[in-house]
Amino acid sequence: MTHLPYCLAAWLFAVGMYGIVTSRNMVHLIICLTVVQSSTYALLLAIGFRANAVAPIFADIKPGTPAVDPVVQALMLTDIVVEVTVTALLLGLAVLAHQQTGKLDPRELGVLRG
Amino acid sequence: MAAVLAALGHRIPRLLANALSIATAAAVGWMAVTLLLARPLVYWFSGWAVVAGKAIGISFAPDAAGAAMVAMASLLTLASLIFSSRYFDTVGTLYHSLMLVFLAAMAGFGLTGDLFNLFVFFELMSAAAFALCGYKSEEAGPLQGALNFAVTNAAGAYLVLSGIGLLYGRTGALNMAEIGRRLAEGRPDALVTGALTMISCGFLVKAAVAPFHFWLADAHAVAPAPVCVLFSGIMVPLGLYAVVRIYWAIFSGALAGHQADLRNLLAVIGVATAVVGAVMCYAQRHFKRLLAFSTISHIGIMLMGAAILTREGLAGTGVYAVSHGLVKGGLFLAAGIVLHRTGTVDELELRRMRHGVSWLAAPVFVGAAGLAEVPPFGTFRGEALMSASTQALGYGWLEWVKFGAAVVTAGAVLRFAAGALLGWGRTPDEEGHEIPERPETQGGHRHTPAVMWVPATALIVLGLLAGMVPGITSEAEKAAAQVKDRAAYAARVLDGATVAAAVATAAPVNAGECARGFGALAAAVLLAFISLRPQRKERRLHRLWRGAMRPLRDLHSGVIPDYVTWLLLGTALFGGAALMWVR
Repeated sequence: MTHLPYCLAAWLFAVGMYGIVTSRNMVHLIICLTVVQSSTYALLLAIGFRANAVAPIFADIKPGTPAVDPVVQALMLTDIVVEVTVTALLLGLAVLAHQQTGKLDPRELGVLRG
Repeated sequence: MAAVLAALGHRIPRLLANALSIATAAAVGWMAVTLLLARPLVYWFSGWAVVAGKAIGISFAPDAAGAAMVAMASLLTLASLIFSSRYFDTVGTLYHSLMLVFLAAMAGFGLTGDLFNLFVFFELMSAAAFALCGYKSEEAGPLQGALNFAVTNAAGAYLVLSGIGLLYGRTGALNMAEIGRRLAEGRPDALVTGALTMISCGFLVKAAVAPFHFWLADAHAVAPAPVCVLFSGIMVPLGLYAVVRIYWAIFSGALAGHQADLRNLLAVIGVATAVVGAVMCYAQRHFKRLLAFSTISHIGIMLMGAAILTREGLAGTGVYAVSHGLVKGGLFLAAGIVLHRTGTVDELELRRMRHGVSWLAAPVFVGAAGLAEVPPFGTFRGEALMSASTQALGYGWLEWVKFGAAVVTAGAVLRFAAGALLGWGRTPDEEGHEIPERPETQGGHRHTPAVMWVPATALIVLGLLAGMVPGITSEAEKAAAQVKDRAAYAARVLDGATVAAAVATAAPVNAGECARGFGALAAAVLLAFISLRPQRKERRLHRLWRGAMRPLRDLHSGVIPDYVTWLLLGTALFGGAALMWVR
């Protein structure tokens, strides 16, 4: 087992969050959010990984062959579905906001304050 | 139970007309009440149950607390759907579907016994909420509110998911009972506190606890009033419910030695939330935003109750949450009526116009009394329950913070009712920023249909009656005991053990508590009176107050990157504190 995938997850989380915090463009910000989410993919896959194991498709392999954990893969798939929904909704909102105000910078939307 | 769940699946969205959606919400409410009265049970989907102590499938494990949450969710959905039937001038059936998906997600969230399933329902609930928040998609305000809401909550959700991943990596389980059992076998280490931090902070974003609360005011100020009822009344308390449930089901065994530390940490967060919420609440002139900050403040009060980590504290929080949700729901519907008649909920504008909704001041006054925790409101009973164990544990000072928060929020609502609705006194100028808003309706409606004022007043009255239900406190204590007992929960879910009925000692209401409740109301009236008094002398005081408020106002900037920075900072502080325990 190696620590690399965990470091990757932490790195993706950090750069994604950095991107959100410094973002000046709504679309950029939403994509950064998906980068943060990718860190959860990396984390989940890393947790389920086993060295020298095969994909968890049990149709034509000998019983007893080590396979990677299928549960985390199922979690990740669900995760992707969730992410697509949220991202699509967010991008839709951003497009509408741009149509209404002509602005994409989250710092300039500024209707709500105080 | 199978029949109940078959019906749960029935609620997957269809294009439903008003009648159908209202009937559905009522049916869900009826089922939730059945669950509430039934003994706690466990349902394994497709019959994939437990093999040798390992959960294979996904379970619903409703107990009294979860079922009460679902009952509450369906009651509020029912009220707001009835209200909406005449509220919007034009509304698509998409609105009804979204409301029902929202309800379905909240129901699943309250009932599930599986951690990942909890996350999925959390996301489903969020997605429906984002869409409902930005429902008036032809305006800038709702779009910005929905974006703020969605981005911060999505970031919180990813924290939750990472935490779940860590727990799965440690225990190989996703069933909450099983994780709890496995974790209790080992020593708590950095991974356990890390997972606790990520999951708690993620859900506390939804619970709008400082410093994660910024999105709430933005979302509430712009969401349609009937949607706000659900946001404030049930969605936000559900975030807190998740933290409580997860702590007791999963972490309470492993972290048993660190209860005092956790108590301090949560109490501090609760105090910060209550204070910030109350102060900002008082500074608003947009009624919906004012109510939103009052929700934040009251969530702080509930967190302080739950933070005590005793059965009474938990039971009190539950009673408080139910009653507060009803009262706040009624107040938001009242705001909706004002918007329906006049097209604005701005305090100054309302004062300047002849609006003909002065009669609404009566229910709003009663609602404010509910916020001030006056007997016999449910909020009072909840507060009395919490306060007993707070004082026993030497946290008596928390009671003063709660008292102050209740007074200030109630005072602000009273000020609005007296100043804007009745036109008494003088409202200070230039309080807060105006939020440009086109109402959900054209405004200028001559009449308020009964389907609008009946739900509004009914909710407030129910909040009042909630405190008078005989045995509510002892039932709540039993429910809290169930939530708290990790071993019994695990035995119920994993071993199929039947639950022994918990015994509760019904705490008598003492006179001191009653005096405290009426004192809060008196103080709130005094506060409202002072704010409306037309005297020159207070000008300087007023300017001082505005100067002091400026930095706090500036923090609520409406800018997503700022909110996410606060989210990260808060999580880091929580995680750092938690890491100190196991060092």
